[in-house]
Amino acid sequence: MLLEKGGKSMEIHKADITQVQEDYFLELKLPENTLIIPITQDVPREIQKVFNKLIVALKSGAFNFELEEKDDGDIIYHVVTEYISQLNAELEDIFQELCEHGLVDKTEND
Amino acid sequence: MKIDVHVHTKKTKQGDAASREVDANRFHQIIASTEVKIVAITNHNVFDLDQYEEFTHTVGGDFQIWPGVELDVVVEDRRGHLLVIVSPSKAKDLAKVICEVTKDTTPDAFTISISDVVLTFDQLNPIYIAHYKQKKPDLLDEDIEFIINNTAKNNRVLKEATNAVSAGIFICHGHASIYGSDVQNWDKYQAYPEKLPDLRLPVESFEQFCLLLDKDKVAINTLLDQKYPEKICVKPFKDDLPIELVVYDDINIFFGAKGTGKSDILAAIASFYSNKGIGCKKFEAGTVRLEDEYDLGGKSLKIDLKDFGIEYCNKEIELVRNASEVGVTSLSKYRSFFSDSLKNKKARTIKIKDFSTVSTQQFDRRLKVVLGTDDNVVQFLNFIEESDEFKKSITEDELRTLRVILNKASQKLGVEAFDLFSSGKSGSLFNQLVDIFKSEITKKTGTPSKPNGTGLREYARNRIAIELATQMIIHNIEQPIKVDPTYIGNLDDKGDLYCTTEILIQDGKISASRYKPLSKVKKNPQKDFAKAIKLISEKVYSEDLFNSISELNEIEGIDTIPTLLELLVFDRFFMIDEEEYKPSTGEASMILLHRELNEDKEIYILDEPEKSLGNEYINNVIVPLIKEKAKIGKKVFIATHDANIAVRTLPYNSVYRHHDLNGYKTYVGNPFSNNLTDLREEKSEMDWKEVSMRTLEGGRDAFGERGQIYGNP
Repeated sequence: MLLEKGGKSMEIHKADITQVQEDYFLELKLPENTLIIPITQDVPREIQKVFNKLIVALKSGAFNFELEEKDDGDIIYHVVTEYISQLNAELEDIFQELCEHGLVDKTEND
Repeated sequence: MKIDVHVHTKKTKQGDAASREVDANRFHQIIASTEVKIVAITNHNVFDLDQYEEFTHTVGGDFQIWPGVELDVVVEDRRGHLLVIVSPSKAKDLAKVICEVTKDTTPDAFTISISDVVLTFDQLNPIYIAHYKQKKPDLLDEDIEFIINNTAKNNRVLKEATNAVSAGIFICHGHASIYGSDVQNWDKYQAYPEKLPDLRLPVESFEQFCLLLDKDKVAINTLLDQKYPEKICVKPFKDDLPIELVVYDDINIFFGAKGTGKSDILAAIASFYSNKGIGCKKFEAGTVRLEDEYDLGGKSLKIDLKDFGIEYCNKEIELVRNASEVGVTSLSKYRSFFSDSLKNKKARTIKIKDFSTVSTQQFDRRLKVVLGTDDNVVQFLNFIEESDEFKKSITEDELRTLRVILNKASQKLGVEAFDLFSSGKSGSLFNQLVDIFKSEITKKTGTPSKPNGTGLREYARNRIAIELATQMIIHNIEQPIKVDPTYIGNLDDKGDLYCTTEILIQDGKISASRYKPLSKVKKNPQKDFAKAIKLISEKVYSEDLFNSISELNEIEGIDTIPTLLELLVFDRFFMIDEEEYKPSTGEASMILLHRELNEDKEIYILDEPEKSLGNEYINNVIVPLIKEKAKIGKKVFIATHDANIAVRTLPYNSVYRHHDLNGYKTYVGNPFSNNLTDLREEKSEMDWKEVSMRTLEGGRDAFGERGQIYGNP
């Protein structure tokens, strides 16, 4: 999905919550691959791996994530909603910085 | 100055080429464009006084024209040519004499006997120059002998050779010889002077030239004195009396057997002038290595990377080396916030704790850009106010318009800067407020606050900073460093020799052993550093980035590389035609001597410059260079064993050091007077030529060239 934001094009990718047994995971669905962040486990290394991939993906253009609607008052849903909201704001900031430093793939963003 | 004793200005005989004809203006123009300062007009059996006077009038004082004639001399059934040249003051007499002897005949038919030549022309005190050997038609030795025996001034009988080599050969055998151009075609005259005899002494008249042929001491000294003789007193030997020498702004030669103290005298002369504040040093062949002179080892090689547009990257290197991982926000903080906030009613009412902090970095970055731009605008405004040149280039109206536009731009930038500043400050105040509330509520209620962010922002910034730093380092490592080669000298057929310095920045791929580090860093750390930086650059967004940074920090000697300067490697070498070349000892001597002579100095002091040099190089390059220095009035002191230098440079001053049972003696003289006088016993004299031939290497051969001057036997 492509949305206009502040005069610039912004890709919107899907995000979803999956459950494997008792553990919940946030799936960030990039066009090329899906990145998975464990919600109910504290594994910073996994988050860092995802962040690395997000930064690399930002070099091809700005994007945000949109969580599939599922408001059942579940705490996991609240956690993920907030997380994605903050993540989106940070993605925009970082994309801006990448642009300012000339680190964005120009052919994709001209 | 050059002398041409044999030119034709008219076609007088049937066999003469028409191209020998020349008019006054052309004659003036052609000769004046050469180094020739004395010309003798010697047409066949004719002396055209009108033409001579016209030529003399046209030429003015630009050069001397001596009147003369080329006679067809008959001896028995043989015929030879003889030049008879007289003083310009006797031009009319010469015309009269020739008129008389050639009346009732034509230049083609005219001949004269050898005895009549002397009878007719000797009254004019001429110089006789006979065609000899290869110079046809020639007179025989006996014919020339006849003139010598019957003329009043037998020093003034010379033999004309065909060229310098033949003149040299004749002179070697005791013949007084000279040669002239015998010009056939005035269009080609400019090619002659290079081969014509050189007059080392500035001969001002025919009479003075004759006195030189007679080796008249007063005449010689008068000419020598034009080169500013200077009396100097040096004390080269501890146990001996000082030596008082008269030296000239010309070539001063010191010769004599080995061990007679020539080098010591030169050292004393160097010291004498240094003490007077005239910078000079003794050049001693063979004591300096070309490799050291051009610092092939690079001991004094200093490079400022900025000169080549290359950054030192010290900040970037420091950033990469000190980089550490930035943590990310744990998901448990979110879980904990939401589970507790649902329970705690009080905490739920305070909404500010749920706010996320905002990023202010973009305001700061933009503010920097806007302020920088405003600075430039203000600087330009100041420039246009101060620069008269700029004001001259535009009209008052244009200046006023420009001023208005720039002021408007500056104002707009100021407003934008204020907005950005206030946005940034508002943001950071807001963030502080949120942080305080969160921290206080957490303390008071025990409810965890909402995380400010996922940590992506800080995490990414850390990695971006590393990426930028490594990019910067790699970009600068890849920059070429171009150092222009230094011209050293010419090695004849081999070409021009250059000293080239190749400087590279170790990029991890340079392995050739010829490249040496420019600083005290070892080769391996340099190479490992470059490789590690490249690896870090490739792994900026991978989980093992910090393993690579650790590897960088573990390189042995990594602390010796704080900047890119320490990555420099170099190779300095000699080169001909883009190919490396190692000059031989002889070539190195050539180059060093050539370099010494190419330096612009007032005084040159050369100790045995001929060492390791071939005769050809001495003759073709060094002797002309030394003569050139003398010509422009430089003092040149040379201690030598080489006749090419001692004789062929025709020094104004020859100092001969002699040693025998009675001890050391110093004789002074010159080639023009052909004698050497003991400095302390004026009556004790030696023959300059004899001593030179006996003492100098190649002495006998060298005297060939000397005849180019004025046929001195």
